[in-house]
Amino acid sequence: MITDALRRISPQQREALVETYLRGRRYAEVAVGLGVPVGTLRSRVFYGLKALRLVLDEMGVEP
Amino acid sequence: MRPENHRAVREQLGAFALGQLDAAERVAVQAHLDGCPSCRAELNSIAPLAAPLRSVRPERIDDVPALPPGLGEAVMSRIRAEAGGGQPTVTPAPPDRAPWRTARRLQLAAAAAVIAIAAGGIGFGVGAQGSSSAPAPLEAVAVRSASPTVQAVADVVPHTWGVEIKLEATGFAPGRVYRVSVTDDQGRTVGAGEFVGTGAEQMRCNLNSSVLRAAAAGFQVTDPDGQVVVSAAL
Repeated sequence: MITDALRRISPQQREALVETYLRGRRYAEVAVGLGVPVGTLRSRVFYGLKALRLVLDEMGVEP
Repeated sequence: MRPENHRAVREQLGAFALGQLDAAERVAVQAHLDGCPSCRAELNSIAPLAAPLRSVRPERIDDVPALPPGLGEAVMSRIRAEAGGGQPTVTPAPPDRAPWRTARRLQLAAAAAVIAIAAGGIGFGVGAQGSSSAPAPLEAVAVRSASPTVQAVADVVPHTWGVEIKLEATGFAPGRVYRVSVTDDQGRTVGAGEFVGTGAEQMRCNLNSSVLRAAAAGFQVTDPDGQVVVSAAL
């Protein structure tokens, strides 16, 4: 279910969550790889979680 | 609390919820949370995702098509219902319902409508592009309204020529002209178009900017006096 939800958020937000949380990579390293500031990556993680919450609510799932 | 600090902390809430901050950062965020109910509420909405997310295997995310099973049929029956009856998909919330619930309902309905359009094109071969074309990658964004009357939801679409904002809203003052602009990650503000307020009537407005999605940091809607009425971070 949550995997489905992850597919429905934006690619950038998904990538931020996958790389930093699921793969456990360091923010600094991921940010350099993506060519964005660490602050932008943090922002993507935050808004990615918000978007994920919205998608799950829409699917009727209580996380 | 200074606003710039508030904003900086807010964007760390994701990392905080996922346990990714170092000790000093955690202490700073916790100190802010103690005095900021709105950030606490924000954290409460995303924190429960940390545990279920941990169970996701990253390699499985790319496996399957994006549309969940059954959605196509649900969407098509909704389209048929709308085409047939012309019934609005969003009914006004009962008076006892808190305003934010109404906003959430509108947002969900808008998201569903957007998926409906995408699914119609893919699953059923409607439209000129054929079934092999990819869906338009719509991205729902969290919209902040500074006006008690304005209810707005938005999606953005990354194009090769820049980012498109699909704005759906009610409550912009009728007859007044509002400007939409996109801010890029260098802090530059680039115009994305204008629209006229429609009052209580629902408006759908697509706004185009030359800022590419990867460089877009946010957008804002300003009234004729230059006041920001609606804003969103991207």
